[in-house]
Amino acid sequence: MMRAEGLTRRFGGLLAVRDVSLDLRVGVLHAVIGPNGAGKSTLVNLLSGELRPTEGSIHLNGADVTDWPNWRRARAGIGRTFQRTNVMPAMTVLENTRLGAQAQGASGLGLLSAGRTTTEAAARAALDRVGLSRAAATVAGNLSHGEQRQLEIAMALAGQPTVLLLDEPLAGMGAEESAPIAALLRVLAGDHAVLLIEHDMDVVFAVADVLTVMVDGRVLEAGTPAEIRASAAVRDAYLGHEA
Amino acid sequence: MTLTGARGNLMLALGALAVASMPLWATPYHMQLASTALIAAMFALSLQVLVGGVGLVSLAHAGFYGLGAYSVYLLGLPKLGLSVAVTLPAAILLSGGAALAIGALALRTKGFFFLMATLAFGQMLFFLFHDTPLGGGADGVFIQRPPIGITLSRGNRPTVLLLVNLGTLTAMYAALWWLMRTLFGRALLGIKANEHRMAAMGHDVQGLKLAAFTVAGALAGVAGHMAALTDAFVSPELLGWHRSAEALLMVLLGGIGALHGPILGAFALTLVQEAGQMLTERQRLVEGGVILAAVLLLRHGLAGGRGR
Repeated sequence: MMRAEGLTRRFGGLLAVRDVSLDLRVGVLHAVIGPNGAGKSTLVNLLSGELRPTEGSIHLNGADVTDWPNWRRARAGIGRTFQRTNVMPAMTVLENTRLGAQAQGASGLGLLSAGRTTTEAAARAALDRVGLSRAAATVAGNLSHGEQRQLEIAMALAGQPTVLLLDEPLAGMGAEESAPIAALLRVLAGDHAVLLIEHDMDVVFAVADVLTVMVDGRVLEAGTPAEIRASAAVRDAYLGHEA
Repeated sequence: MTLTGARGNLMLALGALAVASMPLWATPYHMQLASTALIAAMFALSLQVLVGGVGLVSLAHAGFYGLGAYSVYLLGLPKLGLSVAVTLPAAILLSGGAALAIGALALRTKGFFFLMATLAFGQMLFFLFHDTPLGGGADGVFIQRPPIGITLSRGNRPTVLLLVNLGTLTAMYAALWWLMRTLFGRALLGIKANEHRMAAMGHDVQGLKLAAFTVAGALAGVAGHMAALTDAFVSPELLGWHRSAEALLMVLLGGIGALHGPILGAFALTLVQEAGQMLTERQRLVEGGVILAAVLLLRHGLAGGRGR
C-alpha cells in the first residue's frame, strides 16, 4: 500500500530522521512511538509531502510519490491530521469537513458545477464516523478541545483516504474523551492503512498491531506490541522511564 | 468573507433602483458622477475576489484595469465599426491573459514579497504605456466609443451611460455572488482561512489562487473597458499603482468581510472626494481623515459583515 525506504531528512546540521523504512497496509494500525525530538512528526511530514526527504523514497500503490507535493499525495489517498489543531476556525464544522471532501470530488471546471450534495454527503458520513454530527452547524472555533481533535480526524476522513497519518490525535485529551477516540482508531484501521503517533502508552499498546520505536531520528526497534514490550533496548532507551 | 444575504441583496436592489431613477430627478453632472462611482465599484468588486475571496493583496490590479481600457484604443475596433459585443470580450481576454501571465510569476512569492512583486509588475505595465509610443503618449489619448446599439447624443449620453454601467455592475455582482457559492468559491474562502490545511487536504492551492487572480484581472478589465466607454479617453494614469491602492481603500472602507462591501466603499469614497472638492482645496486631506475615521470606527467597514 504505502512504503517508505531509507528516509532521511537533514535540517542544516541536524539529522531529524535517518534511514527510516516502514510499510503501511490496510487493516494494520502501525504506531510510532519515541521520546520528544525523536523525529516522529518529521516522519509524518515526510510521508504526507509537507517535507521532501533528503534521501530515500516513498511509494504509494506502486507509484513513486517521493517528489509529489502534499496536495497531490492527498488526492492520491493520503489523509493526515495535525498535532496542533489546524482547522478553519471561523467556518462551521460541516463546512470544514466539506472542504476535505471537496478536494477529492472535483477539479478544474468541475468546481463550477454545483456538486455540493455529493461533497456534503461525504462530509456528513465522516462526521458521523467520528461522532461529531450533532455539532455540524457549530462554528469550529467554538468547539471544545476534544471536539476539535475529532474534527481533525473528520476532515482527513472526508477525503476518503486509504492511508491515514494521525499525529497525536489524543493530544491534550482527558481519559474520558480519549477512550471513544481510541476505539475509533481501531475501527478506522479496519479499512485504512493507519500510521499513529501517540504518547499515551496505554492507548498505543491497546490498539496497535505493529510498533516502531524511534530514538534520535532512527528506528530503534520494530515489531508487535509483545515484542516491543520484551525488548531490552527499548526498555533501556525509552519505556524504562514509564514501566 | 460572508456571502451577502437576502437583506443585503434587498438593500443593494433598492440602491440600484435609486440609481436607475436618476434620469427622472438628477442633473447630467450628477449622473456622470454616478457613472464614475459605478465604474469604481466594478473595479473594487473585482479586487474583492482577491482580498476578501482568497486573502491576496495586489498592487497590480490597476494594470489590468488600464489594459481593459486601452484595449478599446489598441485594437482600434471601433474604427472598424465593431461594437461592444467585440470590444468587451477583447478587453476581458487581454486583461485576463495578462493577469494569468503575471499571476503565474507573482504567485511564486507570498505575503510582503507578493505585494512587492505585484507592485513591480503593475508599474511595468504603467511605464509600458507611459514611456513608449504603444499607448499613444504619456498624456493620454481620446478614443472613439464602440457602438452600444443606441446612438449617443449630447442629450441622452449621461442617461444611457449611467444605465449601461449600472447593468454591467449588476451583472458582475450577480456573477460573483454565484461564483463564490460554487465549490471553487468555497475553496477560495478555505484558502483565505487556512491555506496550509487546504493543501494538506488535497486542494491545488497554487492553481486555485492563479484562477482567482485571472478572474479578478479579467473583471478589472471589464471595469476599465466601461471607463474607456464612458469617458472616451484613456491615459497611463489608469494603470498606476495609486489607483490600485485607491481600490484597496474602497474595499477596506466598504468591508473585506462582505461581497458587496466594495460597492458601498466605492460610492462612499466617490462622494467623499466630490464633497472634499466642493468644500476645500485640500480634498486629499479630507479624504484621508474620513478613511482614517472609518477604519478606526467601523472595524468591519460600511457593510458591517463579520471579518475573518
